[in-house]
Amino acid sequence: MAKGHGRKHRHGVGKKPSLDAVRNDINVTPLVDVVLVLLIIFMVVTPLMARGHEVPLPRTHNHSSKKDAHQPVVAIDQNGDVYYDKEKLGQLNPGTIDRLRTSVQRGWDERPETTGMIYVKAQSNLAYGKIYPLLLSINEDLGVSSIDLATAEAKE
Amino acid sequence: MGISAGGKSGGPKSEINITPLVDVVLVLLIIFLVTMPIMMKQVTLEVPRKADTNIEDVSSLGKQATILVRPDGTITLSDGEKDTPVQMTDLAGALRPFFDGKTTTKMVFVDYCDPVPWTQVVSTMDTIRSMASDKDHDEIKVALKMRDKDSSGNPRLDDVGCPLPPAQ
Repeated sequence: MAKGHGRKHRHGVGKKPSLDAVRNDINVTPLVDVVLVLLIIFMVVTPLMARGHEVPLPRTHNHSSKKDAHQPVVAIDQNGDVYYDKEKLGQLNPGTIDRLRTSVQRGWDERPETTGMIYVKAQSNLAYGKIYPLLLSINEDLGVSSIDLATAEAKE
Repeated sequence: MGISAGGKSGGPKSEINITPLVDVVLVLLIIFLVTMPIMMKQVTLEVPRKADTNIEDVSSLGKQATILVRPDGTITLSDGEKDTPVQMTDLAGALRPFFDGKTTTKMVFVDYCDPVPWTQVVSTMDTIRSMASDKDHDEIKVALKMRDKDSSGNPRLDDVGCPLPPAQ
């Protein structure tokens, strides 16, 4: 009965509601439900998929086409705080460098094929003077001679 | 049971219902927009050991290109003997002579003044790498120039934050 009532409203006046009339439009409600849930899942999961602390990266055209080797990720943000993966270590000082060395070494032990490799994510608007000490320390204290700098793909 | 009755109430709608299609496409679009910036790419920066820079630079590699980028965007290109001012847009052309006919590793040393933003640092490296002919752009190596340190171990910088040449 309720169904018939609905049709009367949809199709306007004069039509006698019939219970066995076929609704010939697709019911999109479940589809929209599923799609919205997928959307929410993706929105939640995608930031977690990125490796390391999230910082805005500079954009490049001529980046390497090598695949991510899952080497340890070190990030430095706006305030000059250093992160190992997502863990905040704080400003660069001898104590931080020590913790960084331990963490990176652990990362290399877990994936021996990445030994000697490191991925540096630095915030795009940070001054070079803030990043140089980190690069220098990675070179001198961690003994890395080839640093992979994270960039994002430039559009256009 | 309902098929015959359908015609009575105005006939079947013959247009395709595009609403679900639009939904799916919009969602895919949003997913891609969200995922795109997250995919990290990489540019490799060589950080030669001090011993390497001193010994190999001059003797085995011959003329070595070193660039210094200033906060105002001007670049000084040095071949070890003389310095040439270069504009950012002309950098690739100015570096060409260093790579022509070179069979060994093509390496450019880079240095920046302290206030230069990271995005500009990386974009100069990007420009240098654009001259590589291989697909991976790894043919040309970008190397970090080690700064000269003063007696207390701090880099020697001028008042704008630009590195000073080694003390004689």
